[in-house]
Amino acid sequence: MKAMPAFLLLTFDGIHDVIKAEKLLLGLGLACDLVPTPRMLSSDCGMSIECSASDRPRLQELKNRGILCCKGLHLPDE
Amino acid sequence: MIYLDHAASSHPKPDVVMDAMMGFLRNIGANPGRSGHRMSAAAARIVFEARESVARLLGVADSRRVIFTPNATVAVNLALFGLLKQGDHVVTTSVEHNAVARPLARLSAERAVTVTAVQTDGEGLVDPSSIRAGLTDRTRLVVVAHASNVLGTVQPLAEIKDVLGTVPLLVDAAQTAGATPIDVDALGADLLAFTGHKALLGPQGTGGLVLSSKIELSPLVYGGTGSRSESDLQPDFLPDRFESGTSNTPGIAGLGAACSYLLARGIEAQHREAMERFGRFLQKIRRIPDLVLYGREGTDARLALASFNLRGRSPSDVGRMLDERYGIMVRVGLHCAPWAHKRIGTFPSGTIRIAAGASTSDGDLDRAAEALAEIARS
Repeated sequence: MKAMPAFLLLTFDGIHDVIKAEKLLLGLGLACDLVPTPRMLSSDCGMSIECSASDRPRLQELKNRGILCCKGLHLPDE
Repeated sequence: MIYLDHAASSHPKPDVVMDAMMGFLRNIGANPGRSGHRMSAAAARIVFEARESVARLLGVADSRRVIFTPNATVAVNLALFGLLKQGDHVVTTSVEHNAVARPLARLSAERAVTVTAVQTDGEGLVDPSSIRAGLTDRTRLVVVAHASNVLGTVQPLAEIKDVLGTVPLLVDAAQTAGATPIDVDALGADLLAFTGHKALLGPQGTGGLVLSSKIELSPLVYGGTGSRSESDLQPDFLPDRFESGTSNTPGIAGLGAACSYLLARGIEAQHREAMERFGRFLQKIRRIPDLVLYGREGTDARLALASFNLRGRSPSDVGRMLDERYGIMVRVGLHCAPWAHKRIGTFPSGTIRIAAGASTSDGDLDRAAEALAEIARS
């Protein structure tokens, strides 16, 4: 059975949205870290946010409600 | 030294502005959002917070709609060159600054843009019905300085917006941002240009353009944004679409600190106090024989600035005397606004302009009034 990835990556249009999302997530008590966007996702902003994969349902809900302004949520093998 | 030239640039800046700029230069210094490291992220946070502060201060719900530019002139150019097309018509007023007059003149030559400059009254106030009368089916934009930099007269923006229908409004808020309350979203202004270094108390080299979500503009400058870097095409999202090239991050850090400072103090209360103080000054200089004061009679719908002349003396002579004999700094001449001087009959020699600011005291204005009375008597 495949192990659950530890992290997922949030990608954004631009750095403004990255910082806005970081502020939101920290305010909600969700652990996150700004990281350089991996090459395979480089069509986005140069920075992305790494979050715990276990927070994916909550992050997806925030995105669906338009509160989290990210373009995508990516697991390492997606 | 008494500095009464705040309409040209405010001085001194609050300590927090200098601290923020020095803090950035000493401790961060990296390029915001261009690199993946923590110092670049720290720089990006500073720009983000500054944009949020400006948005709060100007009543803009989504701070992405605040585009940073080096000054209000670049913001006005971005709006005019980004919006106007061949054969478009523009309505503006007869007291606009060269920041509006010159790009419009260029657009007349380059894109056959036609301009109707609606005459204001003698105090510099525009009648909204005159603007409505100037609209045609080709009118693409109405451009109004929120306040004249020569007369300090504040235009009735809400009433102007009411008569425009679907024609967009560009507000030149170079003199009013930070001096009077502004709520862009409530007003429904489609475009608003501001500068950071006047009443906003930020450093020179800062400013911006607020865009409504309804406005489609072409960028003035194309280039690197730190986003979509694999593409030759300019990003289509805000604020990156209009912010190519490395920003003035030290300046933006200072501007953000200045806006936070003003938000904490409250612009409305500060404006009320400033106008009470300036009203007392106006009463004093009105009593000086041979002093001709232009603009509004009272202190309503005006900023804390006044243009005047002393009969028989050139503005430049009076300005020099104020500087050399009394250590009082004012601005004389045309103030980059020849249209306004033509309107009030002071072209081409201009006027003497005294502009109070956040640091101006009653004592400063008393001293200026006494100096003017002495010069008038001499």
